[in-house]
Amino acid sequence: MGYLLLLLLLFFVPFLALAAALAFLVRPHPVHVPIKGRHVFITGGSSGIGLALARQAAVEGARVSILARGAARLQEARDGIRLATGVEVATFSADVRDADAVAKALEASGPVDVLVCNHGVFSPQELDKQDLEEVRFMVEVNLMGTFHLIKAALPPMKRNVKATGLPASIAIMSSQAGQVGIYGYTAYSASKFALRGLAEALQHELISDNIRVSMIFPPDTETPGYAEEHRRRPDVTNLIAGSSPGMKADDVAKTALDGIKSSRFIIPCNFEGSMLSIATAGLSPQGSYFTALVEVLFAGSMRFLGLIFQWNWFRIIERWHARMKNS
Amino acid sequence: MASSLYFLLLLFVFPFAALLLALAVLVRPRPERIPLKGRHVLVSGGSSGIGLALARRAAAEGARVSILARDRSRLSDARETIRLATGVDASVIAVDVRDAEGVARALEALDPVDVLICNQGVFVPQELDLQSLDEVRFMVDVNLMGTFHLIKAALPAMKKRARETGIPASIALMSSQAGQVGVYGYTAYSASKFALRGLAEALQHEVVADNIHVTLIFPPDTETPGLAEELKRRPEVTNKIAASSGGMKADKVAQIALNGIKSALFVVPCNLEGVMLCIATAGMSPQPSIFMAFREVLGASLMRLVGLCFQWSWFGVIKKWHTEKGM
Repeated sequence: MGYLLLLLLLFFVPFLALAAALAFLVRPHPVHVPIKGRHVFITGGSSGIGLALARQAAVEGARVSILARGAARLQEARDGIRLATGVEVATFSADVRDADAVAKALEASGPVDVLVCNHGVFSPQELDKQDLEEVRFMVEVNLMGTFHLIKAALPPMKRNVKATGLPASIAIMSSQAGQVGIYGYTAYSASKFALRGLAEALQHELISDNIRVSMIFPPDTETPGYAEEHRRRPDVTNLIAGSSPGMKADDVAKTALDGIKSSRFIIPCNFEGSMLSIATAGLSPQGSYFTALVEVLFAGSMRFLGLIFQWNWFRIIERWHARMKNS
Repeated sequence: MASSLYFLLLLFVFPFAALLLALAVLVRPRPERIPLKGRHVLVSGGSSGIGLALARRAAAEGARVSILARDRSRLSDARETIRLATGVDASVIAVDVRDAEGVARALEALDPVDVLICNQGVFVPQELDLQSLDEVRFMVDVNLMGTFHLIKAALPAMKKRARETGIPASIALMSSQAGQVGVYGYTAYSASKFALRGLAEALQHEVVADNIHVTLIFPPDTETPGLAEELKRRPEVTNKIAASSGGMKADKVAQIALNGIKSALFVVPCNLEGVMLCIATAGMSPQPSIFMAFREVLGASLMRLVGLCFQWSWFGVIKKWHTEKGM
């Protein structure tokens, strides 16, 4: 009986000590980022996840602006949101690759409280076969476009935070392809991995301005973008990544908004995503002591699991090549 | 007494042995040796710093060396240095890696490359808020797009050669510890270096069947002309944070990098701190080395905890600095 108690203690004490240490260590301290009555600016907001985000933010009482390239789709999006929610969203037409156009759009929209850099393009193909123009396209839109938006939104955002005392947020839509690079994704994964380096450094730079950085990591999501991309996918990519979208845009949007409001740095969208996020926690900041506890406890097993996944993927690649050679 | 001790030992050793065995089966791509002697090694950014050290060491090991850089006179000097040190005549190519066509033409004129070392890099640290978009673009173009240009140009001939000779080839990418964690002042640089990892993970899937191995090297601050330049611009906060990372000599980094390339490792840390960082940021990366995989699985949890301690420390430094500045 005494031994049992001792064993229990031996097990529990380090566990509690770890939990206590993490409660002390985790940075930055989580804050609540309100969106009601505040200006939420969503790029790539005329379709897919962006549109779902815009609609949900509007329902929650935010003042919503959406930015995209095509005026017609923006119009449709605005009408759609008005019909569904009664809310009028502001629309801005600009190509995120054009730094000046982005700056003008943000000037016209006024200070932003929650900037959601959600725009993205995706053309999967073996780098060997892919045109450098397409590679450049993905890097320009996904990465440089995000830099343009942040640069333009930051000064008024900082001023607004100071004036209102409320925390602001810069949310960046990444992807599970921004956590692991697989066959066919050299350019896309490069652009999405880049966003993480950007986000980690940016959070350091903006913490004292009470601006929180969030990254969202959705799986394949049912969007017009996905449908486009799916047609081009190499066979091997389909064998590895599966051939059906994992989630609906509305569900991704809800998870994203919840995470943004909780100022979470890493926002996974489903269970698989949570495991991926633990595996790829790296040296990212972690504000939630509970998530930190899970990360520390499961890091080793997630790494092992990751190695199993790679073993399987390389097997798939090997077998596919063998089949190709034979036929 | 002895038998129960044996039993305890077995109970303790068994899980470790089982893990090692499992990893021996799982690790992919399968480990290989990549010879340098008599083979064509191309080093971009090869006229100074780590690149020059890499070129010199490769030449000393009997490789045919080509160095690529922008400045013709620095290339001349570098060629002299290599000749004096090793007796080997390196080929020189003067081209800007941002010029895709120039790079393609230059590589076309050369023999097929067996070991491509994308080592070029520029680094201008500054708060994104204060930094010009031109500088951001500069880093992304040189560090990321430049690497895409080099790989695209070298791949076809590299694949053909690897097929004909049956000897494995290598594409090595010089990343940085800033490509494992983003800190204050590094938004653009970390973005460009994190991107290389996404690129590398996907690329390895795509070229494994061609017997080409991808390697990422993660040096800390290294004593090079590049670093001297960069230190002049570093924000104070970055200095306080980055001071925790030890500096290294270019030649030592080059030695470790070449060894890693020859062992076809996927990630190559350069010092003890680097090893810890590599374990913490192993993520979902492939791992051809059983030993490194073992360290990663066993060390992951502790390294995540250590990583969280670092973030706690860094956010503390940032807060303190801002308080002192009265912001």
